[in-house]
Amino acid sequence: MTAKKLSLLVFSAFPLWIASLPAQAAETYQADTVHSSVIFRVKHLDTSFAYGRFNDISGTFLLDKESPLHSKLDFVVKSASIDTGSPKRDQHLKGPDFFNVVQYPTISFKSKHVAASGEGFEVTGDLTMHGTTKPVTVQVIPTGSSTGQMGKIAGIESTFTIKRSDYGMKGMIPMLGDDVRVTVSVEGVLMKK
Amino acid sequence: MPIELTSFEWTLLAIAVATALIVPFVATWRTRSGAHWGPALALGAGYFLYHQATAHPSFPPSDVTDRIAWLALPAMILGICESIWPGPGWTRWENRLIVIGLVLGAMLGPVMGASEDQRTDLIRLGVSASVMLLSWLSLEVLTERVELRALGPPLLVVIGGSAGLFLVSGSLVCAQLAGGMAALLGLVWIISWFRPEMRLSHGGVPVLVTVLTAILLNGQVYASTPLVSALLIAASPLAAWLGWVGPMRRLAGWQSALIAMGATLVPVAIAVGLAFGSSPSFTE
Repeated sequence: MTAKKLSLLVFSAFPLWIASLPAQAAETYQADTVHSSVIFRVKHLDTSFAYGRFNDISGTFLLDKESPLHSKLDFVVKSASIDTGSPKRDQHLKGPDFFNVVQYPTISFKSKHVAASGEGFEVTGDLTMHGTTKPVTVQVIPTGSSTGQMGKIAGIESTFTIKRSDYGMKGMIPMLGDDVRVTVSVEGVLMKK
Repeated sequence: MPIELTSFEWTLLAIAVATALIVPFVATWRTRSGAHWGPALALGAGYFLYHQATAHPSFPPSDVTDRIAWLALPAMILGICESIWPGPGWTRWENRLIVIGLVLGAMLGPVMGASEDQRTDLIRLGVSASVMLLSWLSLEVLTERVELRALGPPLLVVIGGSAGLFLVSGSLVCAQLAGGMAALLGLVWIISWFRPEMRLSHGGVPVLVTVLTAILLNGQVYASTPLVSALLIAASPLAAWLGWVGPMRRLAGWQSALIAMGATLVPVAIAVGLAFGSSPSFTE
């Protein structure tokens, strides 16, 4: 191969390499259910906060500070995995007064736009709960990265507040508050390509 | 702490109070030929407004609980039509089958095909349709034979009991809705003391059967009401027959009503007891 042909090959491949850069730099992580948490709090009788959690979250995230537009978050929570430490209360929450887990078995979040913001990202996406989809904007903060037995891992966290009545969940308002503060903390394992 | 109501809540409260005031008045309405279409309107419209005030349903109704309010309307229209234009039996049952189809489609639609086992879906659909049809038939015949002022107490035991059932099996909203229906029937029943000729047949029955079946399906499929309890509640109006069969027919109206009340209380109490026993406790 002559030097001219070699340089032609290199230069013609260069744009392709450039185009593939963001995809190579960004890494997609799969949520590790065991080390991820979705906790929420809601005011009870306008007095104290009752806390609960969902034990089953799955999904993936890809956050790229260099190229936020390529970032993507996609999570699904099984609504029947709600756990407030009281089986009786969980039974009520799973029923038609609240989550109606038979009709709406999942809660999902799908990002639509990601922008770098301070230490983290401002993520706008669709939150679907109780059969209603609403756009929400949340702050997502990377909490660290490491290498474990399962390979490379990374963590993110986000805390935001929603009004449950916006999602048609109007049971027992105002005895149980309308505002629900949610904290999602996800540990992801780097997906193998 | 003083209770502060928003303007929306005040509106809903006003609707609830207006309903309570209007229902007894509307319940007495009848045609010149004496057909009582008032109970159908009072129960159907009353329930619809009560549901709006207590459960604040969304529109379009995506959640199954929200659909119950809208199911009351075709049942009410059917009840009014049956009162004014009774028509031949086959047209009545044809219309009733349409309403039964609407109830089952609205309440079971979200779970049909959701499980891998289609046989379970079909069995659930078949059992629900059969139970609703039998309840309708049984109540229709019973309300034709027995005047409302005597039949009211056993029916109130059934509907009030179902409110208690939902209370212990995971749905406060279902309990409120059944309680509201019981309150409406109670109002109509009080009116029947002054209008002895008043009956629920060809009018109130479609609303009662539609709303109660929808609430029962909501509780059994989407909340934690045990299947046996739901079936016992659905079958409990049959027990009311005991007040008006054989030698009981010779008894005074209030004596038959008392026997029918006692008879309906047995399956209702078992249903509530079973649900209470299978429900987790707060201290677990």
